[in-house]
Parts: sequence; structure tokens; C-alpha cells
Amino acid sequence: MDDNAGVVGKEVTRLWRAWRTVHEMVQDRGYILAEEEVKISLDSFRLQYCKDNGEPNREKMTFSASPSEDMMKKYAIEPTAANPNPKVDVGTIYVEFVPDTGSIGVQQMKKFVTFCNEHSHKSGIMVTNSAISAQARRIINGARDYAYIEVFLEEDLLVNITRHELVPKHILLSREEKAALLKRYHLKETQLPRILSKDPIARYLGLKRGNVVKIIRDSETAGRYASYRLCV
Amino acid sequence: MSDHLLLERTHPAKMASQVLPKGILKPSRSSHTDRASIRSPEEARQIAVQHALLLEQRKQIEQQIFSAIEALLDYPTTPRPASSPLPDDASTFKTLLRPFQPSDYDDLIEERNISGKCGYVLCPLPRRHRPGAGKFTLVNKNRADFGIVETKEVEKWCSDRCARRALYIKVQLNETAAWERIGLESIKIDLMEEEKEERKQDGDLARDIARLKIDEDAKALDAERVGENGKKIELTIREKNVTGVAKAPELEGSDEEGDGHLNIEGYTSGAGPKRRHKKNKPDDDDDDGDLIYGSVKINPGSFMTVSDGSNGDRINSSATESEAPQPGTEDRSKRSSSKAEVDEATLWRQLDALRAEGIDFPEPEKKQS
Repeated sequence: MDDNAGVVGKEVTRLWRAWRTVHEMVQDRGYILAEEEVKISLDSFRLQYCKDNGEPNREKMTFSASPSEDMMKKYAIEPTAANPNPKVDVGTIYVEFVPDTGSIGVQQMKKFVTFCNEHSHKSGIMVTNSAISAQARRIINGARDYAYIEVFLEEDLLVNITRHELVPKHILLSREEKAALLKRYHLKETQLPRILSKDPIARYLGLKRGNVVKIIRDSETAGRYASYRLCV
Repeated sequence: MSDHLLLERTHPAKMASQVLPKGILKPSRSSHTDRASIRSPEEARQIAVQHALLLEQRKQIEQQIFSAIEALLDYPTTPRPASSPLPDDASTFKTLLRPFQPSDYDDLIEERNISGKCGYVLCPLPRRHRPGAGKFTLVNKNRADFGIVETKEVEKWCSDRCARRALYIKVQLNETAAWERIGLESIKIDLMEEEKEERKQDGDLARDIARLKIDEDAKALDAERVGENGKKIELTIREKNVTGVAKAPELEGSDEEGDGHLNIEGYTSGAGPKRRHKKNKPDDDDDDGDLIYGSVKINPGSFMTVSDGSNGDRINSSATESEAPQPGTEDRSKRSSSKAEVDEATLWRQLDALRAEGIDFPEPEKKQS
């Protein structure tokens, strides 16, 4: 019995860390979250998201957030003659911790996509215990047009990788900034260095194809220097 | 003709001014661009449309496979044992499975397992769970085909019987992607139980021959053989006329001495015994372990490496020699005077002179008897 309590306690701690990382991630992307939501302590997490017997209650572990003004500006699309009122492709984000321990199949993924769609969430983050099936991945790709679904493993979120000292700062450029960069250096998009969209940092920031990130590194000689990468 | 005259009459200086200076850059790879530029816009459009249609077709088939997987997730519609499924279920299963590749079928099994069902589509039972948390498990205990397999492989099915049934289907699926099966007859899939019944009815051989489908394969191959512009390429296959009696193959260049194996494309390597046999005088047919150095023959006793140790003074003489050759040693001079064609002392002097110059020698070969 005591042993079991230890196992459950460990699981709660793991979940708490993943919970915090997800919140930090959502906040770093520019969504509005209250500070006390992000920096929740283990005790208050236990109080809110655990059942009476101490087991974590994943069904309760969902939240949504809406983008801040700055984020809206960053993702803004300049109106053109052909498209005078372009739609901004950011909206509310919905995060869910999947309770099942098995891998995620087609049916579950469909449910998630429909949920996001019904509640008009533009993006959805699924935090799972184990990998999703190949067909479920296909659904994600199929739903790209109306909902941007991301899947993270719980174990990948135990630490926030961007807080590591060896990880340089990555900043997403807005469309305007990207255009200015390309103009200034007389570059074509493809001439920039690249970053894969499956790169952990790219996944953390939710980069899409064509996004450019500015990477600020420390330099022994120059203090700091910036480089730019195109997400592919 | 007139052009020629004109060229001759023009002043060389004038000519030079007309000719453009030759660039140092390589000419652009013209073959590609030329062909592209030759194509008219209509042609280019046609090609683009053709490729777009192919992609579209592929997308459709992928969608079809996806919806088939989804539909087959909830099979069987009525719970009946897997050995005797509802005929309707069985036939829909078989039709839906036609565009599948084996990998798609694996996806289907995985999806069924995620929802807790047996991997075989026509089985209503839940998949089994092995007790314990081990990653590997033992199968066929106390039998000849005992094995250790991953637990998740075993847990895919409700029973071994169902595993057999499901894999029986898998091997019948076509490895070619459905959108690449131009002209191929759509495959016929049999369930394991059906197959057995049919086998009882007619002979095995006849059925196997029918399965080969030689005619259909030939037709499919014919349909694939379409040129770029949609024209069919005519191809007739004739049997080659053979006149004369078949002969057993023989090794090239084999001769009575049986050295044919040394022959490499008609050439026998030089430093071997072969050449010596042909060139040298016939009186040296002893088997005393002569050494061949190039075309020069050296008798044993000159090299320490050759001496067999039975002859004491030979060792001694050769030991001194390896430091500095002493051509006057009695034992050796006797032998050399009788047998060697080149005076051995001279040879040794030459060798040493060359060694002093720093030329390296390969180790002399021992004659193979």
C-alpha cells in the first residue's frame, strides 16, 4: 500500500512538472495566462487536480487560453488588394491531458479534432502517455486547414528545454520582420539556414513551415550575435 | 557556296570584331533547358495536368484506404466466431482490403488493438493480455518451436489461431502501392477457412497453376509498357532458334598440366611455375624445391628460409651469407656449378648491390611441386 502511494506520488509530481511546462510553453507563445496559473505549486496542484485518494485526475487537466495583443500583431497578415481583410490564423488554444495509458488511435484523435472545431479553438495540444498511431497522425495532417493539432508526450515535457543554459533564445519573427530581414540581406527564403519543424524548439514554439526564428547566442568575441533560421 | 566565298573575302580583323569573346564559364547544360524550351505551353500544361491527375488519384486512394480502416475498426457487425464469419462481413472485408498494402494492414491491426480488439478483423473477441509487465514472453513452452517474442506481438490477437488467420491475409496483399498498380488485376483475397474448403474440392496443383496467372501477368506487363506520349510499344517475343548440339562448358585455357585455374582471362601470371616450365630447359625436372626469382632459378641452400634444418652445414653457410655473401663456400658452389644456369655468386652480388641502393625485393617464391 505504501509502495503504491509512492508510485502515485511520483506520477503526480511528473504530471505537475508537465503541467507547468505546458503552461510556460503556452505563455511563451504569446497567449494570456495568469502568473499564478503558470507558477502553480505542487501542493495546490494536488489540491486541484487529484482525486480524494491521491491519484491524478487527468480529465480535469484541461485549459484554454486566448492570444494576447502582441501575439495577434505578430501573426497578422498584411491586407493586400486581392485579400483586403485577411483572417488571422491564430485563435484560442486548447490543452488536454489524455487519461488513457495506451497509444492514441484514430477514434480518439477524431474526437479531439471535433472538440477543437466545435469550440472554435484554432490550435489544440494533446499531452499523451504514449505515441500516437500512424493513422491518427494522418488525421492531424488532414485537419491542418481548420485546426492546428500538436501532440506532446508527457515525458518530453518534464523539463522546459528553453530554460536550459545551453539553449539559445529563439524568437519568432512576424511576417513584416521576416520581409524586412529578407530585403535587408537580399535573400530568398530558401537561402536562410533551416530548422526542422520537428525540432524540439520548433515544436515548443509551434513553428509552422515558412516561419523564421531569430536565434540569439552568446559570443565570446561579439557579446551576442543573432542568426536566423527558416522553419521547414 | 556563296556563303563560303563571302567568308573568304571578309577581312580577318573584321571577322574577329564580329565574333563574341569566348567566356571562361562552362556552357550551361543545354540538354535539359533545350528540351524544356522546345515544349510548347500547351504541351507543358498537358504534362502538368497529367501529373496533377496522378497525384489526385493517389490522394483519393489514400483516403479510400483510410476510410476502409475506419470502417473495419468496428467489424464484425454481428459477433460470430472468427472461424465462421457472416458471409456479408467476409465479403466486404475482402473488397475493402483490396487497395491495401501490407503496411496499411499493419496500421489497421494497430488501430484495432488500440480499441482493445483482436487484430483479426472478423474476430469479435477482445485481444488477450499476458499477465505480468515483462517486455518479452515465452511462446510454445515445452515444444520444438519454442520462442521468446515481444509481449506486444503476442497481445495483438485473441489467440494463436486468429494470428494465423490475420497473417494469412497479410501475405496475400500486394506490395505495390495501389496507385501504381496500372493494369494489374485486382487481387482476390481468401480467408484461411475458405481456402481449406476449396482445397478439399479440387486438386492442389490445378489451383496453384491458376494462382500463377501467367496470362494476366503478361497482360499487365503489356499495359504498363506505354511510351511517354501514350503510344503502345509493340513487342513480340520469339523463342531463339538453336542449332547444333549442346556442349558442356569447359574451363577456358585449361591444358594437360591442369594449370587452367591459374589462367585469368587468357593470361597466366608471370612469376609462377607455369612460365618456367615453358621457357626453361627440360632437364630440370627435379622436385628439390627450386626457387624462382623472376626468370632466374636459385637452388636451395642459398637461403636460410628454405633450409629444412636437416642439413647442419647448410644452415651455417646460409647464416653467414645473409650477412655478407661468401660465394666460395664449398657446399654451395658444388651444387650451383652442376645445376644453376646463372652463377649464383654473381647473382648474390647483384642482389646485394641492389639492396645497398635501397631497392626492396619481394620475397622469392618457392617452387610449387
